[in-house]
Amino acid sequence: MNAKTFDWDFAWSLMPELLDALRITIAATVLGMVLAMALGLFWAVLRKSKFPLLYWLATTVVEFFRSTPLLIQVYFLFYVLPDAGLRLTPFQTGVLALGIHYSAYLAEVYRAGIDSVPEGQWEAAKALNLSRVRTFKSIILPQALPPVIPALGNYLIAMFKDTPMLSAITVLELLQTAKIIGAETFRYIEPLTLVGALFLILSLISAKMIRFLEQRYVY
Amino acid sequence: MSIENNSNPAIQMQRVCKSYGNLAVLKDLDLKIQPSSKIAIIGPSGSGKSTILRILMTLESIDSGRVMIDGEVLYDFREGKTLSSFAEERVPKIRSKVGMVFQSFNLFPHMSVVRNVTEAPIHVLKFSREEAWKRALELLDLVGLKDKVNAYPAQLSGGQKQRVAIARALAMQPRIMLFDEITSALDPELAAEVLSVLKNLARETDMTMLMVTHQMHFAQEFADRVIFMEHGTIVEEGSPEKIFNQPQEERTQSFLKTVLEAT
Repeated sequence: MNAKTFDWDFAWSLMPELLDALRITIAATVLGMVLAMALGLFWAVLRKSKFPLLYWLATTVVEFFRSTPLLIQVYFLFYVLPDAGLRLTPFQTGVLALGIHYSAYLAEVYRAGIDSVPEGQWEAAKALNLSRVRTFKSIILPQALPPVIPALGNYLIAMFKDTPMLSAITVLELLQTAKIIGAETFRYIEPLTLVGALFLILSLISAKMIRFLEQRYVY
Repeated sequence: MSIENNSNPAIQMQRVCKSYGNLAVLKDLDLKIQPSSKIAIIGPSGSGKSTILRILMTLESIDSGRVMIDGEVLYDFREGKTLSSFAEERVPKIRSKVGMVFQSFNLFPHMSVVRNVTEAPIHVLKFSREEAWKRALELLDLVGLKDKVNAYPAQLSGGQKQRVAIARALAMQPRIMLFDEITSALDPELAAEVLSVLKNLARETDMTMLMVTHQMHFAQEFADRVIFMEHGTIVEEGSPEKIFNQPQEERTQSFLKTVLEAT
């Protein structure tokens, strides 16, 4: 190894391996977000239920996942699910943990959106005898979701930046790959700098895309 | 109305009490309305007028008393206890006989005018899309908005919004229509176009119509019976001629004096 503080040739030689790892990171983020969005909506709608039991169940779940660290949830799922008879790959476990953890935040986001729909919309739907499910589907959610797109986008970026937590359970995402390269070559500065740069570039691109969606759907 | 003896009243409220916290809005209210009648409810703000409509639309419950629509029990409570004749499963069926138009229109802003009018007929009455559209166009024609079929609520004036709301409620073919201060949020000329739609409707239909209004002239033209309310009770009721020209109660007289002087 030469004495240069940052070896560009070495850095470039790492790119194929890091881009492979980036694919894992992106896949975990996208799948985690899809799961979080679906689960979060489920919690948010349950919290609007007429039945107290469903309301309390959803509220407890949301508070529990929001109030415990993601890293602990990741470890917990990784070590406990196999004992419970559920065998998942580290990647699947990671996606599950991200999805569940962020669903608790997204439930709050959705709730803010649902609460921002004026009471008169519920009353008009009731006066037309629309069922509660139909009211949510046709009347409330189409109005509640567009205003929360920016907030959903923020959580997408936050989740993206939380994917290095999955390195704790051996998922070969960006950070884990960088650490392995470092351990093998005794050079950490190039892989870690590149990982940071990749996160930065992707976050900025995502933010731009969210801005675009926002302009398109928020009225 | 001629065969009152063997037809149920369209609406019957017996000893209905309703309060919000410590504030009693309706006190032992008794009200009976025959099918096809056109009723105007007048009175000062906070007298409980709108609460009556909101109870009939099931947007509010009651504390005690009995409410019947077309002879079917909607609510029957005594001192917080539900009486046996009341069954919650029947509420949607009874509610389907009632339609309501709101002061603040409450159109669905993300849907075009025609979708506002067809949404419930398609999903509740199970009309085919074509049938619902055909009827929606007829109703929009009736309220003078045939050219606004594909517009969105934000592109309409207040008067046009309210006429869409009337068409939307009519599309559900209710037996009873409730109008809750539907012109209060409108400029006088826009209110006039809504009221003329309503006047035609009142003439042509045998629906029971209840309207809460602050427009005394309109109440006089529209209604065959006027109810004056104050502090949660009915003070006086009768024909428009009687209420507006020879009110018997002192409170009616002083209310009308204040209101008519102001306009």
